[in-house]
Amino acid sequence: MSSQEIKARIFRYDPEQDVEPRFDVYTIPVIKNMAILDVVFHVQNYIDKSLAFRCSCRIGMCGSCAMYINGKPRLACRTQVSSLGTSEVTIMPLPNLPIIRDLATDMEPFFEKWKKIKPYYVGKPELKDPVVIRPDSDEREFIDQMLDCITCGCCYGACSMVATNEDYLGPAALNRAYTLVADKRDSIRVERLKAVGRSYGVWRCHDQFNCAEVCPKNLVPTKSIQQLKKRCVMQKFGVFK
Amino acid sequence: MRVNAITWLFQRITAAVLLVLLGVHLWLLYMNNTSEVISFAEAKARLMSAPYITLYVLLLLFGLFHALNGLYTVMVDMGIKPRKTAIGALLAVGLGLFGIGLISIFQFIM
Amino acid sequence: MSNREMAVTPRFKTHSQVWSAVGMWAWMLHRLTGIGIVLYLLLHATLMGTSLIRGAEAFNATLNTLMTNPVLHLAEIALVGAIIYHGMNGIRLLLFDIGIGFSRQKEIFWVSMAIGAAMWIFVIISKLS
Repeated sequence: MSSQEIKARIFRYDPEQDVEPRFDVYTIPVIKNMAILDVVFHVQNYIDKSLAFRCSCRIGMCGSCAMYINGKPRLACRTQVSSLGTSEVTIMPLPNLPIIRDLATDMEPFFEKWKKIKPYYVGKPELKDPVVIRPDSDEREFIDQMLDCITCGCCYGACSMVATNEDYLGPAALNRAYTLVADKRDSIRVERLKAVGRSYGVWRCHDQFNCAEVCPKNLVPTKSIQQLKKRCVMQKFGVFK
Repeated sequence: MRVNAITWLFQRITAAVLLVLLGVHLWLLYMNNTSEVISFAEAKARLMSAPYITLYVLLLLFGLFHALNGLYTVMVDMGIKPRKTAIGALLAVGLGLFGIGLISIFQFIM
Repeated sequence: MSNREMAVTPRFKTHSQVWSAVGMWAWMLHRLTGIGIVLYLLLHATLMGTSLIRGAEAFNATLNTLMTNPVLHLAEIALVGAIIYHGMNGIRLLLFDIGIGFSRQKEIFWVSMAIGAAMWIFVIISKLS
């Protein structure tokens, strides 16, 4: 173990015990290739067993360990301590979501909004399975990259429109809606467009790019939302049904 | 609300038009003015022609729409609750100022 | 409020923002300049309108008061700056709306700011001379 150490300021709050949140400061020895997830594990294993946080796969696939780390929502498992370029790390729970305890947030509002856009494929009845859109056909639109979303909620925590407006659907749900609307086989496109074309849908996006800035998968939800806006306008003028 | 798509589109259209109209407006004020203080006679001489009248009526209309719809967007972003009241107030201000503006522009050709 | 109540409703959230991104600042400034310009427009339309309706004399008197005030001339430079910013960033936003530039948004911002700054400097120089 190297002699290098970092100072970790960690957000602590138990709604059942504490009146106000507080920050606890821990000094943690740095090991090689240490990620922020290793930092919170070190605290839990060796310093304070009561620290709560959520994680699962530890390799950036499951999207459970999103936290607000040094001014940005990031995946704790994919954020190297060395990449922060400082020996002081501030770790807070994901913003805009209710806190269960310490660093664990309740993803319920996020998934409630996710449900509102009907996040599943509904094929046209006349199509027979398996229905394929060939990768080289003109029918296929560019959605491959947008499908990489792991629903970690980083974008939701970074979006200031979500922060000021509780009902805004948020970047992740709208990005998901676009991947389905852009699918030529989709049979409930108009219904989906109605869901996202409401006041608290796409129209609250003002191209801040905070979602794109923090997305661990490097998606650009702003682009998906723009595509949805365009389709809402076109649908309004009857360009597609 | 189904008008969202229309107001959003109009906000973009007025934005694009205002870039040109406001550009012309500012250019006129900075480049075509010789005296320190603009006088009524000077302004009248410039505003007598039909293109200029059209320019200023459009500037008034598009400017007011863009400004007040922008203000409404800010209000909705902040989660304003009685939205009908806000829309009513903004419409009243907009129509009032458009009326006053129209009358005053036509002072130049009377 | 007892701790129990706090645990149920309303549940505590943080609202920490991302301040290290260009897009956030571009939006903040766009909002601030926008609100500023709206306030100016309301004032401008009211002042010009009410004085013009009262006739040429009133119009000349109003403009004489406004255009001989040195403080207002400085404010005018700020106003033109705000309009130039709002317009240049507006062009950037219009580009996004027609589907251009999502992968180059920061570069587009700095280019439009450079052009805007040049325009503002030109206005300041022509105003001071």
